[in-house]
Amino acid sequence: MHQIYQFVGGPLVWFSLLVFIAGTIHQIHQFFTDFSKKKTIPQYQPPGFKKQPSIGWFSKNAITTRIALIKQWFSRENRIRNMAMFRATNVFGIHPVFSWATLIFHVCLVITPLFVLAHNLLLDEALGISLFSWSETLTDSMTVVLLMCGAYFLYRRFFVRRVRAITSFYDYVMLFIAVAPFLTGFMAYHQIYDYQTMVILHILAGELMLIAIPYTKFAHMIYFFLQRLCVASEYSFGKGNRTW
Amino acid sequence: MTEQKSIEINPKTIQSLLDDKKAQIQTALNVCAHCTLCAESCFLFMTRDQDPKYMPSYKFINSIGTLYKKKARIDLDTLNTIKDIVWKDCVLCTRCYCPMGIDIPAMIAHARKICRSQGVVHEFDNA
Repeated sequence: MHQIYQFVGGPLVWFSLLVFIAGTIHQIHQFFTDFSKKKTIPQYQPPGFKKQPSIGWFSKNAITTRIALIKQWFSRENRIRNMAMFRATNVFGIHPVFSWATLIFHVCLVITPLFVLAHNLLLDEALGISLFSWSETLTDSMTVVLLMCGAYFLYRRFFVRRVRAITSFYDYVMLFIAVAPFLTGFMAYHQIYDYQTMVILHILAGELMLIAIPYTKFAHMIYFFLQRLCVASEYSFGKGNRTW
Repeated sequence: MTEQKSIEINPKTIQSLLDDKKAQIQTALNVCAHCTLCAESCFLFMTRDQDPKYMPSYKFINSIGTLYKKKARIDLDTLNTIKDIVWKDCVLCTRCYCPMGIDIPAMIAHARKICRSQGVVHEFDNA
């Protein structure tokens, strides 16, 4: 048992981290090389068209105009309309439960492992440096929240008609891989089953997830930001273009 | 109506057409988290009793997705079902909105292109 623990907690961790980082870099590289091989269509320019000099983003005029626009947007007359627009067009307005569940799920998924006390102790032992850690009650409750969100996703996959229509076995496997490290970690912390086995399973599940990120459906962790950045004039800095 | 002439499927053209956009198709299928948040953006979905078969994600997964998975081993029946999905259930209004930023209309347009290359085309006269 101890030898297995040594192997799983030693070289395998570095291997999975290496796969994760190399895969991420590969995917980002692929995104910016393979996908942007696209013919650019020359824009139509009317005869006698002259490019206007830009006003400048931070000139006095531009800033005052922008402040006035924001003030108008939040004015009393607009508030009711804004609320109606939010309910009709925003994801958080249309699917409030699902959106909040997803947001909380993903935040917990990324943040919790970084600030768990035991993880930081192991990091300190291995490298001599570590992040600050949160109290164990907090991380424990975050895990419980994450597991509840995962259960909600499973419920959706089972019982909501439109989600069932596109659900395959792969989706269940992916959901399980995402939740497994937290489930085993929770069980190990509370010593529900044999502690040694649980910890080994916990480490294995975490490594499996790290390896799975770049090349399976979890790639949306990388591509979410890249693709959103390329949607024109939306959550993007400057001019966005569809390059994929 | 004229009789439909017998259609022979040419796997090589399908393969080459798929290879043209291989990276995009692969990423689209990979990135789609099956979250079904795109459903409300389709007016066909909203007006037809929220039938899941009008969901943008359902449409592109079952058209270009099956084409990509089956590669050249595709038969005429499957192509015909894809034809129905791609022409009858989608009007390519390009208003579907994916939270991950997948270009769903491009995928469906490419599936149409592949169907057209095989002569499997929606007949507007018979509809």
